Amino acid sequence: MRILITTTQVPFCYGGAEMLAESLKNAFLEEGHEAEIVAIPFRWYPPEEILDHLLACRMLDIRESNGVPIDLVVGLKFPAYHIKHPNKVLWILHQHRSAFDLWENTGNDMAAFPGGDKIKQGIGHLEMQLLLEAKRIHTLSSNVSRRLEKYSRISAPHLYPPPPQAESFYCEDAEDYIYYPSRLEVLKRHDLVIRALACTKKPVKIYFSGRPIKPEFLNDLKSLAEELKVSDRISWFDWISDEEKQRKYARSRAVLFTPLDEDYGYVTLEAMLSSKAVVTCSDSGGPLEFINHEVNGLVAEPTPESLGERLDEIWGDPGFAIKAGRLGNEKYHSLNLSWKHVVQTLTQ
Amino acid sequence: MKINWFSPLPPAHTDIADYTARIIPVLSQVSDLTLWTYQQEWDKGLEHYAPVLSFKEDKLDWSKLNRADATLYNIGNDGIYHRDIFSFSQQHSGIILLHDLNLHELFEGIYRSQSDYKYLEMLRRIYGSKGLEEGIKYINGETSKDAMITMFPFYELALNNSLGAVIHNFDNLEYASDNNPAPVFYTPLPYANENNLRPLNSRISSTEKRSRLSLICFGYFGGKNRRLIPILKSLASYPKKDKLNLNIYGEIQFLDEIVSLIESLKLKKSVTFHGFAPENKLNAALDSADLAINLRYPTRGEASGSLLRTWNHALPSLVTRAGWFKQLPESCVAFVRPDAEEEDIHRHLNACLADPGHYRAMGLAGRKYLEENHSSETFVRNLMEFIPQVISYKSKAFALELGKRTAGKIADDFSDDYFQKYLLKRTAKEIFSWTRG
Repeated sequence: MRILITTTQVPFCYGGAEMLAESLKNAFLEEGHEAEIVAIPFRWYPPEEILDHLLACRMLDIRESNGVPIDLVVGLKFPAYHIKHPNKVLWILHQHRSAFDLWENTGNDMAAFPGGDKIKQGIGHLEMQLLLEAKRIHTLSSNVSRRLEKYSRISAPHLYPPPPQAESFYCEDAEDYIYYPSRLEVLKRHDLVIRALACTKKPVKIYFSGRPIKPEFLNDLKSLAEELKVSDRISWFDWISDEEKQRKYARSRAVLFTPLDEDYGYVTLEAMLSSKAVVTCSDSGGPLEFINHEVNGLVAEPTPESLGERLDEIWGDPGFAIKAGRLGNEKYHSLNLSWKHVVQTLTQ
Repeated sequence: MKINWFSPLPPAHTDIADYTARIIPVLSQVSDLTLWTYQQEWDKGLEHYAPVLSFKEDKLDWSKLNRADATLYNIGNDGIYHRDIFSFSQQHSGIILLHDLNLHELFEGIYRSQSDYKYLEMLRRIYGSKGLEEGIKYINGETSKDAMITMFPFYELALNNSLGAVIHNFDNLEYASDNNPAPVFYTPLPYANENNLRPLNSRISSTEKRSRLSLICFGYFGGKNRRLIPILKSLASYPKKDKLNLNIYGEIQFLDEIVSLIESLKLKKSVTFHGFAPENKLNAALDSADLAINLRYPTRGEASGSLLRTWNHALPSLVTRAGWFKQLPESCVAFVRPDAEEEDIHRHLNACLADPGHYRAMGLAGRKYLEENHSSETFVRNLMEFIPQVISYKSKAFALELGKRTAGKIADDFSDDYFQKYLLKRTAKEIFSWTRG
């Protein structure tokens, strides 16, 4: 089949969604299909721009290319997943969250603009209408399915992908740090981690790796660490190579992943592949689909005090950390995540 | 339900501030309410019911506005109180509480303060070449203000960009709905609530004839449509004018002209100005008056808060047989025909002197009508039923703006007529399809 993957790309912003689109394309190719990614540049501010981008997507005609039909379109992200095609299957990574689950969130960019409420209502209406054009809908995780049901009244099964380069993760003896690999942005709550570190009683050390979404964001976090007198217990790594990232996973005491209501979160799965326990929060979304408290990780309340307590707990009990990491690895393998299964599901 | 409420607030000298003060105690019981004002000072008692925020701050919390289920804007004719509220309503769409259907004075003030050209442009935009022609004549002094007000009500500007409108005159429903995609809703003007009904005093039950009639006019006399000049002329020509005295409460925009007229009509002994009066003083005056005169012509079209206040005192009132007034029961008001003001005023004065019991009964009937039709509780109940309609409309309101914006971009970016038409057709078809469901 000739398959187009439609997604949205914020220029110069590379993360899990971009990796997933690439992996999906490769998986289609490996299964003998022709596949390409169509990435629509996206800007979401001021909020009116969102509708302009949606309209632009709706004007595109991708039914065929050079007179040869496109057999299947797989839509991943808003608004690119609304590009029209008679044989469209959606694998929703997430909806435009500012209009849905993040609407009440402090710092919501859409709510901060005049007239943002009208755009929010409009997107809510359009999602319910336009999503139904798809032949089938899958989502990235149960968390995304839950939101889709809640906000758009559409029921869709989840379809988990394996993380990229799943076979490259490994485990080594732990060194003295807890690893938090993630792009530096508000929703990942690095600030919560820094505040939690200030509450710990043990000499917990954190390695952060990931590029800041804005340069000043990193400075703000560093200032906070300075202010709370925990700078000497944090190491900052910018973008690092895949090999370096896998090494950092492998040698960590545990992995920390405390986003606010993450869609899915490769970090959890990569930690499990590296046989590392995961410390997460009770409102972190995706990770909670895989982490059971005191089994293959620890779940904290999203407060500095509670998270600080969990960090002390995992730091002070290496035996539990090792055991939980092993159980996490076993759990990962029991899930039978494979790109072959993803391709079969999307093309059936 | 979260509600934002934009309004002048007491002690601002406007009926609409009092209207808000009467509604807030009831509305705050069924909603999470925030009051927004441009004023520096307000009656702190309001904060017992809802927080009061300023919308003129530099760092406005848009998220508080956006996250509400509905934002309501009180729009009346007085630019002092409503210019900023209107301006804000254009940035953040909401429900317009239309206190006057005819808003010509508000918009003339807003646009002519920018330039005559801007005013003419708005006339042309809303009313086409007829509006432009008459506007030019008006600016050149060849057409009267009253004629402009009658011909070009300008309520369309207030409703532009709105998500809904509330009116208090059923007759205006059709006008306000015409060419307006947003829902429009009628509910009687609220006045009475359990705290503000006046005790009925002994004057009301008395049937004895009066040797003198105490007349009262009150409110803000911002325009000549309050008919102060014809009222004074009618009094001057009334044969038994020595049996009358008229008390006028409220600010008069054209005071000098009125003072000169009173002198020339030799009415100084019969007419007293009190200026703006505090509540207790005005209440005492209404309690002791025999007859109120509450005329409007040309009518601005909406319900009269002054008449409801008059009824609260069971005080009979002369009203113009026009606009909202004309739908009122004959038993509750004494009508004055707009084209026979002097004749009708004289007739009612004679009748009131001869048979005061009839007019007192009229005042009591008005009070009953007020209690039955104009309670704040009814208003709030109706409003809460209307808001879900507005929320439903809001989910599609973006389409109109997107259509306009897209058409503008196409016109700007493509000079070729063929391309323009092709793109306009395609985008319009797509956007229209989004409004289904």
